Amino acid sequence: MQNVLEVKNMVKHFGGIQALKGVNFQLRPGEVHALVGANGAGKSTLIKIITGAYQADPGCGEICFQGNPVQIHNPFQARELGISAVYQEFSLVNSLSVAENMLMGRLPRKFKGYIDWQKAEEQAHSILEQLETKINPRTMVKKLSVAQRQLVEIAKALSCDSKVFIMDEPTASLTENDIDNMFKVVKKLAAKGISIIYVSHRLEELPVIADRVTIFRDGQNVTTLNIEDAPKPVIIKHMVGKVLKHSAKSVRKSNEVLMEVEHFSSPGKFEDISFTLHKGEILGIAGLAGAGRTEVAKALFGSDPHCRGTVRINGKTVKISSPRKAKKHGLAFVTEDRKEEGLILNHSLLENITLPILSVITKNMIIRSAREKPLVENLLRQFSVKTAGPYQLAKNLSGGNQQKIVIAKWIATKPHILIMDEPTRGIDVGSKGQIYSLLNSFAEEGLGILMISSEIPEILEMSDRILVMSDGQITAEMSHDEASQDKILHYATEKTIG
Amino acid sequence: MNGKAVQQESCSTEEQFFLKNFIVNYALYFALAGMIIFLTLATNKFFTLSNIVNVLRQISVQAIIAIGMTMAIIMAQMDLSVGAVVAFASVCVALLLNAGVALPLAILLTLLFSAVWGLISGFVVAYFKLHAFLVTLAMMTLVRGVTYTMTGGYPVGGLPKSFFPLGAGYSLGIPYPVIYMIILYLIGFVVLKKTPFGRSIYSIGGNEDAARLSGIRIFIVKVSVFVTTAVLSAVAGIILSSRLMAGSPEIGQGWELDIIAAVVIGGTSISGGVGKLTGTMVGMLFVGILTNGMILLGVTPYMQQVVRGLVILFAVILNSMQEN
Repeated sequence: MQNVLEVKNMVKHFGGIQALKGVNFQLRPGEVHALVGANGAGKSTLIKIITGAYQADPGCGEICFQGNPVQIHNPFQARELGISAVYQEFSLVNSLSVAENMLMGRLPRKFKGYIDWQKAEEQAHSILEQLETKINPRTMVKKLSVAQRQLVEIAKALSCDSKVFIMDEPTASLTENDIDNMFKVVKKLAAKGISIIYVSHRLEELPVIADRVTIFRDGQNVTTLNIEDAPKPVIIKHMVGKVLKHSAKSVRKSNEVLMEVEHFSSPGKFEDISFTLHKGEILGIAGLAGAGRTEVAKALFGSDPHCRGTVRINGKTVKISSPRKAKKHGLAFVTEDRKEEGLILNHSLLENITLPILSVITKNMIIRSAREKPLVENLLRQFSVKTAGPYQLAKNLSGGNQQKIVIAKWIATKPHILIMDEPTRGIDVGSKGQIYSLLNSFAEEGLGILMISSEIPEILEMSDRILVMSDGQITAEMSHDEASQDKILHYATEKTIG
Repeated sequence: MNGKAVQQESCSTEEQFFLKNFIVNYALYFALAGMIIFLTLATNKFFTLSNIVNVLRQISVQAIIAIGMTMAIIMAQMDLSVGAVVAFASVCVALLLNAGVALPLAILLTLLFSAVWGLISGFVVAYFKLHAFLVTLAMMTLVRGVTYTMTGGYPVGGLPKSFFPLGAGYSLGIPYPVIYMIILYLIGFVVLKKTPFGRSIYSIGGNEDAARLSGIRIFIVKVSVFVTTAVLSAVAGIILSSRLMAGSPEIGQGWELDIIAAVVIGGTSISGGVGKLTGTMVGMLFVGILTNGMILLGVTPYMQQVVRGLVILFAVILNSMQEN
């Protein structure tokens, strides 16, 4: 049987980082083919190359569609060929009708170029009927539920006569009932001979929906298995690869409780989160993207008006309703998105660093440069920031140095609790090492550090204790010694709701 | 390999880049100096003490408002209601004086009532997280309407003589409004550069999310800036009333745009986070001297508008080059 899609020896670099290291992938007609792998393993990059959103490195790799080599330069071309990505809801225009969305750019015309609405609705209706849904083609998209929008996306792809559907985490925001429906639709598509590339973090659902699974690790396809041969432990084993021996570090142990969080919930984001943070400990929070970890961090930092639950700091119940209050209670938060939320890129390092401590450097209402400048210079030195000086603009630093500035700005507030969301995302190896040793020294000085990270080796290396989150809940807690990549991945892919 | 080639290329253009940046950043100063030299040579009236004092007095009233506008624009906002508040304050102080209220109290009450307009604009902008363009557009109409209603559309005359020196007096040959302007610019400069409030304004304009997560009190800062703008507009309104010896509901029409233009010419970025009060001062001077020079050269008022429009256009283009 001829493969409908074949990817050969695909290589892709982002700057100096190799995201794909020679990936091979075959898709058979009428199969549901799951792609799994930890964050950063390369599956998203591969999909983006297949759909034309990214271009492979020149001269490296080949894509064959229905046996013919093809060049895909953009998503429109991919769709022309018959490769359609079904996104969650992002590609629909909310203020247009279902029919308009489905047939966008291809609406049937009458004479003189007027749109033939009757025909358009008929076309849309007949496709929606194939999916056995009762969505009215005239309905505005904004009035549809998430599940219905996804069906419209599928209908849209179907109306283009696509041979290959790519579904990225299609069940992530669906309820149990909707998921069952989605699976029925996917199976029906497969029965019609359409091939589906199915990306999911939920390993439990693979046996129900997939025919084969390809596992990615570190930019390579490790193996492709029939789903019968790939129970969850086998998949996890391939995702992890050779067992990383994390150094048996001396676990910092302190019985002094710094922060207690009890039954912390926010509707639709996370549920019943309870944990304690000790003085001088690094508590890692592992999980996959979308597990609700960032949301918990933001809520703890007073950025979520809808959260409920109890937070005690040093034994006292506190109500943190704004980042300002969080700062007063000794919390600091290094966000995962330093460019959007951490820094003011057009401002100097000095202005960035002292923004949370303006009151400290102010006397008689005037900011004292005599206090501000030495304070900033000391921090720049302590964090070994490579810079021309305190007046350099933040946008002109490298990613690693920018990250150091965000951390420095919060260390300047002399916090007791430091929340770090993806502390080393997108930064070079050198800066990574420096940030790790800084974190260790902070912990030794008695800071309680909450470290969110999607990089499991980083979690294993740095944490004294580890919480694993999945689907907005804590699914496991383990000590440094008990933890392993398999174990973390097992709990991180656990489906908890429903 | 590719990366290295690109790097080398950028190295060789670095000097050029620096030169271009220098010219772009100081273009306004060069243009101002060039214009002054040209006008000095081309006319014999321009570089005289009386003409320079005249120019300063002409720009002083709008320049005072421009302090608040600069703050608002640095904060990535703007205030279109300033012209209307000028008229409101002018009418308000006139009515109070005619009702027999003592001069200091009349001024204080006028500033206070005008501040309420800023309070409303600021509250709506900050609480509903709306862009100030729309909010202050509505406020502009509202305040102007209230002002017309207060006088039935007529100017309010017959003001006490003691009111006249406030806006029309001189000290050591310098008109009072120019002195007010200089003092307010000094205060504004210190506030923007040297106080936590000033830093907060810059940070909100630079990245509101980052500012909020850093514990900046966004709400209070936003409301304060709109109150400041309204109070400064009221100062301008009182000065005008004093000079005209009348409160007029008609004055200040279109000022918001003149002032925004001067602030932008002064290099303050409409996208927020970047800007200087010295730039605004120079921007005001530039527009003031340009207008004065065109009058001295006998350029028709219609042509003057054409030139001013071109200047604003160039300034905006220069600004965008600076940002890249």
